[in-house]
Amino acid sequence: MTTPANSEEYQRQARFQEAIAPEVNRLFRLALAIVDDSGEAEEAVQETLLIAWRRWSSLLTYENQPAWLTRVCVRECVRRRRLLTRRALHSSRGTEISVQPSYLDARLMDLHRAYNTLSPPQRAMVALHLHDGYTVVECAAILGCRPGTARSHLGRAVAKLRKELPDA
Amino acid sequence: MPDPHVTDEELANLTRAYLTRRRGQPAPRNLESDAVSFAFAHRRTKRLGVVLGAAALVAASALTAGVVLAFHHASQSPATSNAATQARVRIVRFPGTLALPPLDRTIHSATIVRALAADVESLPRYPLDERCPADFGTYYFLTFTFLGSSPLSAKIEAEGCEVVQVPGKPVQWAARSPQLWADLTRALGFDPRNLPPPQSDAGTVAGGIQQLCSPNASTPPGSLRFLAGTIDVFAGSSYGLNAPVYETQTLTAGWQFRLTLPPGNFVIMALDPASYNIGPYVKVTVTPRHTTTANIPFPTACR
Repeated sequence: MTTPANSEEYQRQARFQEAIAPEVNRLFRLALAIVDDSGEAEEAVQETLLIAWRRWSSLLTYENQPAWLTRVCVRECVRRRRLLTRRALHSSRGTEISVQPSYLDARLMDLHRAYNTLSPPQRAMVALHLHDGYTVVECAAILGCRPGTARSHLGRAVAKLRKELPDA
Repeated sequence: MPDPHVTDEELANLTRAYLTRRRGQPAPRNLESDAVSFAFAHRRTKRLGVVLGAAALVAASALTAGVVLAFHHASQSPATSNAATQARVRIVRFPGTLALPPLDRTIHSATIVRALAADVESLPRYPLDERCPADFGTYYFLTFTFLGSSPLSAKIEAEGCEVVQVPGKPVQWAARSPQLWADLTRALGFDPRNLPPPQSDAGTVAGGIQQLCSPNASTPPGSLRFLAGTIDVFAGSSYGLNAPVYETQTLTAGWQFRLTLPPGNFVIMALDPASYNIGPYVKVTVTPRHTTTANIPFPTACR
């Protein structure tokens, strides 16, 4: 258990902290867009860092560590959002998961309601493709599915958003 | 029915606006350090679980119960607690923004381990309305290990609110618990709260989110009111939702921030409390050992 300050383990921890810490806020904001719950987003980020620390030796050899972290975080968020949805379905409160934020104006509030009807992969596709500007192929790699499946998620998400949005 | 008036581009723009606002919510203040500490603290336990599978899970549950009992017995009947007498505590200091030498010690003295475990166990809950002195992010991470059990940890802030976090327990408070600090002093050989001042060439920026009334408001001119809100500090000249945040502070109404920063240029931005979106900002240049005043004017309705 003991880790002297000048030991290799301590140096590894310091290098990990230095490399990963700048990514934490970005991951949190991405997670928030998918899970729509700051507590869950925080836990998703923690889980991502835990996985990263376990695989730190191999992660050190990767050229694009942020992309790897994004992939792990998005998949963790999709998993957590599924659990949240399942819990909400089993609870007596119905499918309403999140409290309606007060800072959105009416039009965005409509979109917020529509966004809440999307499935977890659809939310991830919207966040990654429409907001972050990833291509469909890149989104597919992040989500771990075929590009055709990713395109299908996106198409259905857009159709659902359009359907749920009332007239302006 | 689908809305025939919403074009693809409008929908995309609306979605982008929604997500930009949604994602503008500031991250929890200690998320970085908490997440990293979580990763370091849980590594071994998780691996063990994977290797040993369900059988280990059952064993771990039993052992965890033992550790909890050991925590309780440590303060009540230390001499009879076998697990506690073979315990140790590892103390790691995370320096935050201070320039501190690394500290990572493991204490094997059963007396000290028992005392620290009892101190942590008996801390009061953190009062949410407490106003705290400056915080440079320095904290001590204690990992208690009892023979044959999973380690339990406690994160103790050395300044500011002196918050103590133990996984699975409500947030606790060490500011009014001198015994904990006395026992930590005994364990380390120095006062853990007696930290050196921030880097000698650092400067200070003080200010607040200043209420900026419209000309026809009834608030007398010249009166200075500071609003509640969150400020993000960005190093250099890049700022915004996608720029890396150097430091974040949350202010209550009437209170000002006081930042200790290295020399250089910074942007201090107030997040709009209504939308968590980008708000007004000021650019400051920090000079060594000088205090710069930088109020952020925030236009708002005044009474």
